[in-house]
Amino acid sequence: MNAASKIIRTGTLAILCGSLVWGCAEKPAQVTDQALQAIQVAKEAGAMEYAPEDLRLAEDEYQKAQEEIATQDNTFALMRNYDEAKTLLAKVVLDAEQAKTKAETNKQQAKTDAEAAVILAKSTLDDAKNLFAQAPKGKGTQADLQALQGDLQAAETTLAEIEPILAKEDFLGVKAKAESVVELATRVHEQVAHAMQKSGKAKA
Amino acid sequence: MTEQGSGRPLAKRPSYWLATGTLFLFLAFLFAWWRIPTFPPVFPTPIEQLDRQIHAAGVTNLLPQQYAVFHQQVSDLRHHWRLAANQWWPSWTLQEFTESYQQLMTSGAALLTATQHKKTTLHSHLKNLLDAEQAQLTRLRNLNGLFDLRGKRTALSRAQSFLTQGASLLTQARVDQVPHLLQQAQNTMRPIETLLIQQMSRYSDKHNIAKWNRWVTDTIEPTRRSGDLVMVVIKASQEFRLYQKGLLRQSFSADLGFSGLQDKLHEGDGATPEGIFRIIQKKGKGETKFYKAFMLDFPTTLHQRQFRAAKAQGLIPAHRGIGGFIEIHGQPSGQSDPTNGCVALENSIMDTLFPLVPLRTPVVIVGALDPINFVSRALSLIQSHHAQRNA
Repeated sequence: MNAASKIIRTGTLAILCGSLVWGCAEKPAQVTDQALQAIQVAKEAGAMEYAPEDLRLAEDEYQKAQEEIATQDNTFALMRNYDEAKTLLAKVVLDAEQAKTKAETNKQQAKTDAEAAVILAKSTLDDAKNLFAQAPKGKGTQADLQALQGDLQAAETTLAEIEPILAKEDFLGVKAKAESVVELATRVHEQVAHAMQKSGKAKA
Repeated sequence: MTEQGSGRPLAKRPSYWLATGTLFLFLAFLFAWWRIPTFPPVFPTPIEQLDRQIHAAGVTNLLPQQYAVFHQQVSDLRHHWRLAANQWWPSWTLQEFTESYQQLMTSGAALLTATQHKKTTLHSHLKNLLDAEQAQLTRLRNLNGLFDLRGKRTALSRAQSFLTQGASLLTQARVDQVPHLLQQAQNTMRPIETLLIQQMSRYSDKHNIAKWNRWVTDTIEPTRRSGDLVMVVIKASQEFRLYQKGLLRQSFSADLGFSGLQDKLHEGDGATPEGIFRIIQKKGKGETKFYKAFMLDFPTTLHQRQFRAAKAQGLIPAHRGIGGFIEIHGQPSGQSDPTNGCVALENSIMDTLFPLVPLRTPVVIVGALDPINFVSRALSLIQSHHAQRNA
């Protein structure tokens, strides 16, 4: 074997080894972590409740990326290509960020609605209590007054239950309770106003 | 086999093998080119969109097992597609893939329909339950002012609050919390129902109805010849009747005590007493704050005996007396208010009765004369719902 032949052999071997190293594509570990973290952040922002469909899209894309990675892992080393997985994972990050943004917006809206409902409930209850204090009392009104007193007490109890669930950020639950307070207080208000009108004690 | 001029067999020549190998590789590439494009280059998105649509319909709460199977099938199909699309010699044909895909689309569509149907059914079921409890609560609340619901009114209002919350959450498609609120409402109403059923059952009791009828008949009968007046108050229909010579002369609506339909136990209970009474005093204008009044001889000896027995049984608080000053009195026209236990008639009716009715006129106050009355009908509905719910 002459020197030229040796050089050709060594060169060919080097090119083969180089191809192998170049051909063994790396798993997209970093992008996977980013995607997972983006999903986690979206969940922490309340996406499960406030942007479930957007979160689902991101989770589906993540699952597809994992399936693609698993497929490539089982492919002959020289043929591996994680480009599609990387594209999918990049999409996961974007979708998860969109889910997070949407969840934050929807959650803020739900919070604003719930707080407005609580303010309305408190003011309606205060009005009802003030009017109840002026309700005509006398023979024949005991049962009615006791029923209205029951409504006011139930409204107070329900209102007191709002704080803990507000802390748990169950805004729909808060809104439902606030609405029930408004309903009870409105009934008291209407009945007392009617009784006052009947007894000629209506406000000018 | 030899080639002319070389002298070596063809099979031993490298150029022969090189040509054969190249041809084989060419054919293999040709075959692969023919096979691979048969699979869609991108996994079809409609099945994934359908999967998300089913998820958005709330399948995870409604049909979780069926969905887990479907979701896994979608994942498996995608996996198979991926493998096949990457194989030189795909283990699946396009036809097989298409068939599996179509089957999955069909089963997905069926799952979506089943989910939506179950969601609608559940929504409708919960709404019916809420409506039924609301109707029951309305029945109970309507008895306020007729039976003794003191101490129970806040509970009724709480039940109302639970039902309102349930209806609100149902509107916002938060069905998961509705059963708990329904249960809270039911638990709040149940003891009140039990109490009321006990109090109301007198009105559907045949023996009681017969007894009340006997009181009326026995009181009216002697007046057929004498021509004396008899007053009858029927509590269930809140009706005042005036009989003369055994015949009904007039009938008016009357107001009773704030727990008027109960049997009177003690002072301050708001119940209108039942029994056969006589008018012992007539109070004209200026003698009563209720325009004009007929004072009854309550408590009679019978009532006193019943009161002592009830007290001995501990049914009446120790400091409570038997009560008294039960009257038939007037009240302004159009003012329909419960009394503290008396029977109230419009002033104009009192004007009519006052000169006609002498002292000692009998007054019979009964619960009902007909077994089918307002209370027994309400009782039947309350009992029926109570039993249905407990079943």
